[in-house]
Amino acid sequence: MTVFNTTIKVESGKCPPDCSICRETCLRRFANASASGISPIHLPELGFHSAILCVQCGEPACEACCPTGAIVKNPDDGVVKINKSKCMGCGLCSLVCPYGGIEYNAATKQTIKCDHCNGDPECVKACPHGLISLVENGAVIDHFQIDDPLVHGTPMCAGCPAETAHRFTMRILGKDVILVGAPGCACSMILGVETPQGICAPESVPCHMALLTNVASVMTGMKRYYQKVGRDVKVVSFVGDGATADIGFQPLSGAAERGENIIYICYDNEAYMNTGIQRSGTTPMGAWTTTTEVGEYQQGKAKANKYVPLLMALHGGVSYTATATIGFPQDYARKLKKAMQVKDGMVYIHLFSPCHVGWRASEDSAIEMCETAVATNYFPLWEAEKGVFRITHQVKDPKPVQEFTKLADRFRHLDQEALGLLQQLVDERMATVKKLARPL
Amino acid sequence: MPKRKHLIIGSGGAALSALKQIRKSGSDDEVKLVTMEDYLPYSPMSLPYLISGTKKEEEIYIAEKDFFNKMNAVFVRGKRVDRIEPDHDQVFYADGESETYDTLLIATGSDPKLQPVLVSANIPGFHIMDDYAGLKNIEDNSRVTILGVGFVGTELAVSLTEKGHGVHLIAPRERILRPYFDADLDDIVIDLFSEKGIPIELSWGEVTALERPNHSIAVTFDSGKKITTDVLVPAAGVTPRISFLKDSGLRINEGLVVDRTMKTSKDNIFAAGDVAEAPGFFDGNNGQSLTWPSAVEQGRIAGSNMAGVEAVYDGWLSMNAFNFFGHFALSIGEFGASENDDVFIDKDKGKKHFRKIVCRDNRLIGANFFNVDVDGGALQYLIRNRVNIGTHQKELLNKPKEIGRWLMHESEKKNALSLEHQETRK
Repeated sequence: MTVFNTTIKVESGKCPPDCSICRETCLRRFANASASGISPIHLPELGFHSAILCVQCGEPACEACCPTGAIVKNPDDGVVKINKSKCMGCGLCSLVCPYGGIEYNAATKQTIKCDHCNGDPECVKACPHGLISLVENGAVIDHFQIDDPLVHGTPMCAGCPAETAHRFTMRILGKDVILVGAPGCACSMILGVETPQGICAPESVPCHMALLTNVASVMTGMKRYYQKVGRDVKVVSFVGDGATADIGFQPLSGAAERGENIIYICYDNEAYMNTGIQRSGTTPMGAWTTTTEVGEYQQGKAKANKYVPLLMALHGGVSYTATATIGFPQDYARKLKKAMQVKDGMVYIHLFSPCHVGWRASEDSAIEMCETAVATNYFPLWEAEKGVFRITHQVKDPKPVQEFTKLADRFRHLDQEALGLLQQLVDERMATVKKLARPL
Repeated sequence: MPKRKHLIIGSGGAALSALKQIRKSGSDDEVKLVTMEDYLPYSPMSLPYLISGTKKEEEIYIAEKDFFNKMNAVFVRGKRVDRIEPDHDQVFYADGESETYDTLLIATGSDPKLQPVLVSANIPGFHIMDDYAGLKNIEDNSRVTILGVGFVGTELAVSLTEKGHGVHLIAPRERILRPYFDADLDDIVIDLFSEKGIPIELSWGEVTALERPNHSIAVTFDSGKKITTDVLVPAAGVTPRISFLKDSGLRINEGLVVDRTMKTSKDNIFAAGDVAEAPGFFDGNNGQSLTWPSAVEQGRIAGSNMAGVEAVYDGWLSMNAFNFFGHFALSIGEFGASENDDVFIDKDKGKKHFRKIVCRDNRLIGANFFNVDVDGGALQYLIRNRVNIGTHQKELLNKPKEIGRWLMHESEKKNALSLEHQETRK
């Protein structure tokens, strides 16, 4: 099984020419060092300026090849370290590492690599340009309970993050889950597309297809049956924004008010993507869809969207509400883990899920759009536990909303005025969430 | 499935790597390692460091005792295999015992190449811990003669010189360090060693006679040259340790011939490391790699296949690095260029450094650097992944470290984003 660990990330190719502050900082840390754990690469002739360091590989070649067993990957934190008392300075590790992660000084026979400074890397703090960061993946794996129960492949469009999110969700929720779908893109994962079944093999993931109008009611019935026979089964939906915000909203609101103990996950791609990109209640203001066209009389959707997660959080029977995106897997994993603990009341998770087809975006941009939506406060990450709100990912300097809208051509027609209105809406919504949230 | 028994002969890089991979593959089969030496696992690479005193014995063992407990494996040392009978899946030991196996991995490594004269005079090479034990207690200020100017010979010469002994290096032929380095390096190395007081003699030929007058050793060569010395260390290469396999019926050329799954001519017998003759990276022809990283990788492939998880060997790549007195020489891949290859060379007149790369169809296939800041790992990446380096050959020659890493970086990026995606971005 793949294990993810914390790693140091360098924004590749963005360093200013001639800067080597990270290296100097690292050299100071290793006293009397003739090599450092991070190396800048400056190639002015190619216009390439970056820095390179150990990526703490999952199966490090250096560890496998060290002839004295001096290099060991710590199974707990994933950091690959050189045991100085065993290292004889042969430099073999630097010949087998493909990623420039080990520096060998032939003159002094010194071998040095990044050891994450015991969890608080100096280079991250020292980089004046903010290009080096510590990416914490360690916690994600703790939440992985089972191997992927879904079969391989995807019936979704190439580049769709819904499948990634779905697999991720199922691995964390573990066993004793029954999955409820509704007509929409994700139903192809349950039903398959021109195949007898999708990727949810019945023997590992029991599924049921509900209708757009009755997802929450079906879930209620299932959950009550299992409660009656005394089985602790998690009834989980993975349905779109149409089934949630529009067509199925009445039963959903009813179930929420009654406090049914179900886990309702809405993956929100902000329109009816499966039927041809028609507007939904969550389509953002200004966005183009096939029913909110751009022309003489209309410039995309005229009205602001329905902020469903907040509506759900304000239902008395909802014990836990969260917003999430697969662009922040660690955050999402924590929220799913909390969701599983809820035995009293409903769980509602609103999962932001870009659709490059309907948004007219590049097909490799899903994760970038997820990250940017959070970085611009377009989609803030928060949770509410029994009325107590908390922002789970604080954005220090939010980027302007244009940074998000420029990634998708559904916003291409927006002029400065329209962008200003969208920015105003984003700011107001963020202010509301902040007011609700207790300071961390 | 009932548990199976995997028997591994040897405890070097290939054997340990196979054991780890069997466990990584999720197998809880029985695994037993049997080795002829009575030591914990170590690499012969570390022996010169013991001679010089840079490392102590207890520091060089790759795996401590509890390693085998953690791996749930049995480790038997000091037990020599006499022969194997593949038709009966049985191994016979020199002490008269025998045992059966389901799969067998032969990872016995290599023996030093010794001429008959040296064998009959009972002169060992320098390849195993016992050889080190014989050399560590020689008298101070001894005269030491090393036969063979390869990696072991030169490393040992440096270590012994550091200990205050007077060392002589004798090459049988006119070239040294063959076949890893360009001929130009020979002169540089000879000059550097003589500066340090270690003469290197060329073309002395093979040993024809050996006498032992007054506790010293008098050696005669077929070139007519003679030398008298206190200690004689043959270090003219190694040969696969296969003597116990002569009646096994397994296909043997120089070493045990294996396919890309590390399987020998018998289905349940695998071989890896110096003892194996495995497919090469460029042409797939079987040959001997004789390097530690190749042994580790071959062991990994063998272990995976033994555990029932199919793995295929990419082929070995010649790779050698050599550090003497702080001067660093690196050789990787092929550089006996054929006619259609592009060769780029740069050397200075004072012979302080040189650079050479060989490209075929815009792909790097070999490199040779001396006293140049270079990242061997990145170069290996470029060769193994057959990265198209386009018009950057000259730049790679001049700045091998930076350009090599940059090309690696660009290639990794391309792997992450396919070409079509990059085009839609534009």
